[in-house]
Amino acid sequence: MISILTKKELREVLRSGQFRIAGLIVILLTAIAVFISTGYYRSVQQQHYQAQNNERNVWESQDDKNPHNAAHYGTYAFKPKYPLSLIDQGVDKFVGISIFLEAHKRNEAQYMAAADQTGLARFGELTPDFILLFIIPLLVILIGHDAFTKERERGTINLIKSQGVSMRLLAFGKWLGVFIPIAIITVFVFLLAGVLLSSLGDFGQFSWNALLVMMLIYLAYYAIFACISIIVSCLARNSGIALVGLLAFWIVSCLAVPKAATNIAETNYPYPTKQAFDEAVALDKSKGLDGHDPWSEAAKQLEEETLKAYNVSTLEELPFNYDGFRMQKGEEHEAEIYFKHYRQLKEVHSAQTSVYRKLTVLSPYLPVRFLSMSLARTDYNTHWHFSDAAEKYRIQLQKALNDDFAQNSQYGNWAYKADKSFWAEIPEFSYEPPSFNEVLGENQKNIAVLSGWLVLAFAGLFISTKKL
Amino acid sequence: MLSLNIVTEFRTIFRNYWLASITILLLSLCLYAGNNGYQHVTQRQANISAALTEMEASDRLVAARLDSIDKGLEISLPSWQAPNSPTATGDRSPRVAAFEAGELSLIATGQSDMFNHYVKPTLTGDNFSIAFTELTSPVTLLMGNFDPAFVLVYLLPLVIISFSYNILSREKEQGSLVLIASSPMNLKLWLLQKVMIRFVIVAILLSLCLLLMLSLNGSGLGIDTFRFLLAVWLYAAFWFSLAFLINLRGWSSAKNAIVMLGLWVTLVLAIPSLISQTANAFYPMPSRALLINEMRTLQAELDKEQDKILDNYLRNHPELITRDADESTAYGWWQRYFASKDMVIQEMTPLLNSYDQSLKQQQDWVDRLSFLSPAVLLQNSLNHLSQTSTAHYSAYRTSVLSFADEWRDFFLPMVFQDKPFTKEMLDQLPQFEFDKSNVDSPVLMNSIILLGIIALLMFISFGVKRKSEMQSIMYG
Amino acid sequence: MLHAQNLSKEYDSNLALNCLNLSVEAGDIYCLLGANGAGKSTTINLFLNFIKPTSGTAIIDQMDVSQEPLKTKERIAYIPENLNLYGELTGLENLEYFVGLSGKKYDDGTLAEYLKEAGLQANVYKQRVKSYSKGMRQKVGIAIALAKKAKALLLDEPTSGLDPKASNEFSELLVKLSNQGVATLMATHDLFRAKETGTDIGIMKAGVLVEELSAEDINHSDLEKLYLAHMN
Repeated sequence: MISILTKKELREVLRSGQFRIAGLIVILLTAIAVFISTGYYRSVQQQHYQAQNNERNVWESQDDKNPHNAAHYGTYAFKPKYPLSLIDQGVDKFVGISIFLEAHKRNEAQYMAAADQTGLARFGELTPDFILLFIIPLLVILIGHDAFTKERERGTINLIKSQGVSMRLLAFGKWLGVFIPIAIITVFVFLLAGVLLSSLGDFGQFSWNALLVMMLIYLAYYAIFACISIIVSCLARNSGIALVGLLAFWIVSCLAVPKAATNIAETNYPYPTKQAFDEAVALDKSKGLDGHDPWSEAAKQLEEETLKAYNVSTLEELPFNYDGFRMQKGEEHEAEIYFKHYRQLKEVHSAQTSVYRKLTVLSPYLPVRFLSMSLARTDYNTHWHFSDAAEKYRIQLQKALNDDFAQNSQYGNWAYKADKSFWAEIPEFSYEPPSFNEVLGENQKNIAVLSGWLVLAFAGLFISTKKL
Repeated sequence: MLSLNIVTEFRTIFRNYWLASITILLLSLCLYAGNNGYQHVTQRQANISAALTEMEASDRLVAARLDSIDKGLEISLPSWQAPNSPTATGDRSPRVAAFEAGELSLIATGQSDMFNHYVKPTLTGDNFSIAFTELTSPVTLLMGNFDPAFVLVYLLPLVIISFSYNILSREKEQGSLVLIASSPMNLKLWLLQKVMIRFVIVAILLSLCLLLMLSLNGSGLGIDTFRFLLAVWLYAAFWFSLAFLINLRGWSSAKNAIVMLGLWVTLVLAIPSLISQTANAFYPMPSRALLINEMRTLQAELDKEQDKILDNYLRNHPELITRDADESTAYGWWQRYFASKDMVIQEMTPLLNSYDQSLKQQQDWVDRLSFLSPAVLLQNSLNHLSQTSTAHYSAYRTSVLSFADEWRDFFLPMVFQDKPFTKEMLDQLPQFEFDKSNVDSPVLMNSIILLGIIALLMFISFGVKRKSEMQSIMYG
Repeated sequence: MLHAQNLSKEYDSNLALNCLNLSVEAGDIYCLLGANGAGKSTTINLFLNFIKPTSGTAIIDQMDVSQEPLKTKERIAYIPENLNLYGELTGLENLEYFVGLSGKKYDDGTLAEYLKEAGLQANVYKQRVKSYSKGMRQKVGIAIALAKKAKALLLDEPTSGLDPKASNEFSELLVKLSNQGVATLMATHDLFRAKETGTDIGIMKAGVLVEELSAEDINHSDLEKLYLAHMN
């Protein structure tokens, strides 16, 4: 029974000029988007490799130098790109690409791509995620909006009813008629992306698992839109009203709610301005130990404590260079301050995230957006993860440099220079993004919300068709 | 016929719920978005005034300390922090170089969520490292704001489409068109009148909503308010003329709706993203990652030749040489520091300019193609009127950088000639001023282009004679 | 008043009307009979200039319809099978609007007179048309024709779907108009009413006028026999 119903719907959809034209346009746009994104991705990836190697080169080829000078000279951590970012660029455009790792200071990632683009870039770019998130739901609406209204307008609905078929089965058949063509396009696009990604060597580790989960998420997203299209078509008086209603739903869930969420989040949980943040950090720093300032209160206290701990009376008697030791203590103190302020920033971030999460009730777009970015490792959390890893490396780097200074020189000997072979001994920064399982773990709530939408959409389909 | 049409249209429109619902919809959208914009602007102004207050307080403290030093009293600061040292004051008492919000800043967030609105250039900081990007969550940047520009650029066309997609097809479907068509009058003119009446209703309603929004949020009326309304009217007129053209095809309401929505997706979503994508593809930004490399290599080289650099630097800046000094010994750490900084900047300038160059090329490309989408035209105009356009931030950047140079030029002679900073100099400190009026306005040009597009649509509707036109209107 | 001269209309190489010649003079009620798709509506649409003839001319009051579309429309009134007016407007307002489109302006009293003359009950003039029955709407159509002072009436199955009483009232109105010198061309399936009301009868088949006769010359059953003979 259901196969007959579905077959008829599929025939109608596949033979309609609307679907053919729109489907062709979508496939064409996807091809352009994938083509452009691949080129962009490869060039960025190559630049990052090159930059990273150059930077390491610059670091290792330093001359004999005081370790603390090297600490100020610093080094850069470059944020890698991951294969699935080809499909979803997420927030990549809005976060910096590299972090300068220097003494005393945790820096923000610099050079977000969006700042180097015209204001038009804020409209969005023709990338695969744009098509997957915005355009394909429109295609679903286009083919689904008149599923029932068309039958009513042609008068065929009474003919169908008189055959004694269950209306729910009919609705399900119509749902399949909408969903199957979309699912075919989606599966095709993802398979293509998978083949492309696994064949390109320089794309880093690629996991089919993440790709498949991403595909399932998008399929669930389209299933929800297909359900809602059928429900609206069932309730609406004519095709025009159904189309307008569905479009309103699309606008609300894909554009209006996310934007309104931004405003709510920004008004209730504003980020500090860059200047204010820096000044708050500077204020906290000035209250504590500054490695460069041996005359401050905190420095004097440290001096006393150290002398007491080692049971000596002068700094010269210590078994290490006290300058290096103080530098390291200062570094630790500053790292703590940064830790505190960044934790506060993260709290603001998670408060903002909870605003978005609350509004997922109004928008199936939101959980899909966040899940997709997470799986592509282009979300804000991955950026935090990277930034924290870079900070951890920075602290280790400073410790290694300060320890070298403290162990290998005498107090007051600022002329000490470490041998240039020392620079290569310091391990290189390497970064591993959160694993696939971690990503899924972090996104439990989003997955739950998406599942909730799916269940509700099907329940709605079941209930609304009862009235027919 | 016009007055008759007006009366009849008003009767029809007032007697169903459409007018009431569109009024409520437009009003609530405008007020909500206006409030969002207002919050954003208020936050921005509050940040700036907090910074200014703090600067004034710090200035008073500096003045008091300079007084004490003049009188030979002890101050509780290490010597390198004492305000009579030019490096200390140049670094520790920077001016707040602020970009204040304009009268209409609430209408479009534009780039204002991405860039910051005040910086404090210091003596030892360099232009290269002044951060102009704001500390914003990238998620909020990605999602964008629900500001009046969003309502006008994205949502207004949909309201218009819902109000105009079936003007003719509805008459056809309910059967009144045959009666109309059997009347001795020009059907196109009749349709045009109906479209124009609806346009006027929407334009008046919208203007009232927008004026209410502006006045509730404390914006005064000015010539820019008029420009703003004009830009919005033209945009609305564009969508109505498109509706006119589509209605004339004689398709069914359903087909009209799909075609109009397809055009909306194309003009508001697809074309802008395509233009911006091609701008990136044709005028790619030089890699920032490689810029870092370049700068680092340069720094590494310079580190090895400190003394030579100072020589070169002083050769270019003879005014900084203290007459009695023996060059090799008289200059200390700070002098070398500035000399080497200057060298880096000079070497980097061509590379840094290449970014501005690329951005300018991208902007030119985008401007040239903006006629393809009225949405882009309106967004550009709104960004300009609210002073949140890329051009405004780029002008602000230039202005800050030249102020930073001025700031350094004020202190450097003191550093090199080892002169103290005195209390009298407090009043002579360079002041930052940002003249926004120099930013080229695209509003007039955009309005002319939009007017041209509308004229073109009208020409296609009226000028291009189709074979058996009546037949195609009547029977699709 | 209404003349078709060698009028032909082709749709995608389908001949909908083949070299039609007919004339309807003032006071005539010419009834066109024929199966669906015989070309009746095509003929009427050609007189209305809704479609353009492939060849030949439709003439109203000595003017070629395709040359003078607006002037010829001033002289005619049209009532389709389903006269759909604006539901949100009253009968009076609808009348005012459609008459106004012909460039004529009357005060409410005169308009009410026309509605009365068309047989509409006075208590519904100010009710919204969405509450009207089909018969009532057709009467507003007649009122439009009256107010427009139309010299010719083009009717496309105006009585189909009306109950016999309403249908009868409508026919009476037609006769009244024809007595005032209005030329009427009516496409219909109603053989009985064609014989009763019409002065002339034409039978069409596949775009060709196969039979033309005077209503007085034939009785009901002969007309039906003749009609069926042509259809087979």
